[in-house]
Amino acid sequence: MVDAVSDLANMADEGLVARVVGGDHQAFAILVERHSSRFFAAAYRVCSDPIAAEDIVQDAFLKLWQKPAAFKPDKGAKFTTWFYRVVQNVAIDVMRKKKPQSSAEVIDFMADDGAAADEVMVMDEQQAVLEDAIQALPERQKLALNYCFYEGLSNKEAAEILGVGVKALESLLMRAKKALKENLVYNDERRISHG
Amino acid sequence: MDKNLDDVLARRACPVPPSNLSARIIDAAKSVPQDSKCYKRRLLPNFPLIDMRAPALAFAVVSVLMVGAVFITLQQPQPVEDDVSLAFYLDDIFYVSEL
Repeated sequence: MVDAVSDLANMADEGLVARVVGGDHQAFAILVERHSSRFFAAAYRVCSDPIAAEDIVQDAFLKLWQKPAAFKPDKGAKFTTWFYRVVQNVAIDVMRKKKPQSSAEVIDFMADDGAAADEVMVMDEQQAVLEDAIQALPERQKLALNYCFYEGLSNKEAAEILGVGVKALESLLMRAKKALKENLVYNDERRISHG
Repeated sequence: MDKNLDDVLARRACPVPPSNLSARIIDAAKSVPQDSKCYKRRLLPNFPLIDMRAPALAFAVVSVLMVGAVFITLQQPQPVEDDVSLAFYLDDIFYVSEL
């Protein structure tokens, strides 16, 4: 029994999904434990809301449990690349239904307990400005930035998840960075002028 | 704020997921049945969907041809034999009445 669990724990994601197709709860549990943190972060970066991110990850994993055969390893796709797309689609659905929310409302939970109150306030404000600037980007630019900068995926993988060519992805990234820079500089200048 | 964009982006914080997130997902899956269609799909993995466009076009063409054929048939004059036979009978009647 212990050997069987240990075998599963060493199994590649694609092998585990094949077992999930057969209704194996143990294989599903290993997949969830292996990847829930990573996909929680990916979901959070799309919606800027930790509670919504939990729901998104849960929904995405339940979709995997319900329809594991939707993943086709024979096409040479990696499980994580495919699952990023599942999480992305669930997150976009949630975002479209949800009313817009300022990042300042949800950023408090990240304050460092050891920091002084005024430092925490400045950090919160900077985080909120950055988060709002990223959230203000068009959807595809935001996703391209998340995948390449924060998830550490290669341009090829990110392009595959977004369903675009590598050149198109590079163009999305360039436009995202340009828009962010302009937005952040504008916010900086406005803050200075307001004293 | 730092003008170096990459440095600024690197400061973006991300919360840690709750420690019970994985356990919650695993428990939730226990009460959700798997989609039975996925088993059917595995039994018939390469069964192609029938493209209905070609049959629909063929049906439309045949329908137009049939309607055209009926229309042309209705435009034809009545068969000559009927007129002849009617004239024959009429002649007969008039002949009899003249007698």
